[in-house]
Amino acid sequence: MTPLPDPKIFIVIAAYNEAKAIRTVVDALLVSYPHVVVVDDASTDATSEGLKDAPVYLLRHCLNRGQGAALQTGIEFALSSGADLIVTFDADGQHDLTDIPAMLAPILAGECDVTLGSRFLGRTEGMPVIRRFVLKGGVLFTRIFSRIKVTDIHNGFRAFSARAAAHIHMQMDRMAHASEILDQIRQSGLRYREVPVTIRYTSYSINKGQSSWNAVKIAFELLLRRRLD
Amino acid sequence: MLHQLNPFQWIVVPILTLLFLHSLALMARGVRWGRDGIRALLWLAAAVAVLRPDVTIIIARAVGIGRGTDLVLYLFILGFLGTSFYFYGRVVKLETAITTLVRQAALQDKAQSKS
Repeated sequence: MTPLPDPKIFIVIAAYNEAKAIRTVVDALLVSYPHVVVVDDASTDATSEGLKDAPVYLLRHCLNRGQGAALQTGIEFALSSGADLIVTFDADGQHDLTDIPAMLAPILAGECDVTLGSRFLGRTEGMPVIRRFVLKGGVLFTRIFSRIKVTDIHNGFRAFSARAAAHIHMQMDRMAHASEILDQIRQSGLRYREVPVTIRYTSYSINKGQSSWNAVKIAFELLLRRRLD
Repeated sequence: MLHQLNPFQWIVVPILTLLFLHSLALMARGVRWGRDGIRALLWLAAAVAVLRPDVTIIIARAVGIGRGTDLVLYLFILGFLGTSFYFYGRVVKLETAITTLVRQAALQDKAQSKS
């Protein structure tokens, strides 16, 4: 990829019942990134209403389809709007937007097609012990079954070149999409790199996030799907 | 022979017979005769198994299983696993289709609100 003089960067956020946090996250992003896409995944709270006057691309799912599905919708919208680079970012304020340039740099330099944020290469603030344990288990699982070497899987902070994003087709609606993305990256031969990022755990984001029990369900779903394909 | 029926057989066999006849009638209409035919056969087999458990023993012995109840159990397990996987596959396909629809609607709404 030849370096782009003025790349069109789209930030894609999947939001489900994030009325409390989304506006702050979006406002902070808009200062540096004019193209913010929010996919409201049929929230039952005022997520969309809170963004009515914000200069964002707001898309609404009429039924809740899960984070993977919402991100895919946002990515497709960004691609159809002429995005050169797409960053997926969490709605709950866990991610640090000052990490975005570092996420984009390797792609802009043509060194890889996808960057994956890693909290284990970077920093975490206030991470519960059980969460660390479960996530590490997920890493092991993925290394065994997807044969892809990463240190952090369930991190929604990712960046894609437009070409790479066009290769991503998340079929799994719920959280299993994290492992699915890795499978697709490997299968389509995209070059990826992990970038250290900071994840800030707050009581809000911990409550909003996945219960650790979900990890078991995700593993089951992935294995079953693998058998059926 | 009728006076030898136990209460369970008195209740279940007529129901199974009705279901069998119903499936036969549907089959005769010929809309989905394959599906209805298989159902009719299954109802008939169930009725026979309840009415004459010794028949299952004969079949079980023929295929090398000791007891008729074991044969029924094995068939049940196979049937259950088969239908479970079948419906799991169906649900996954449906979910994917729903997501595609929801996505198209969201993208179209956005495109319309822009123009």
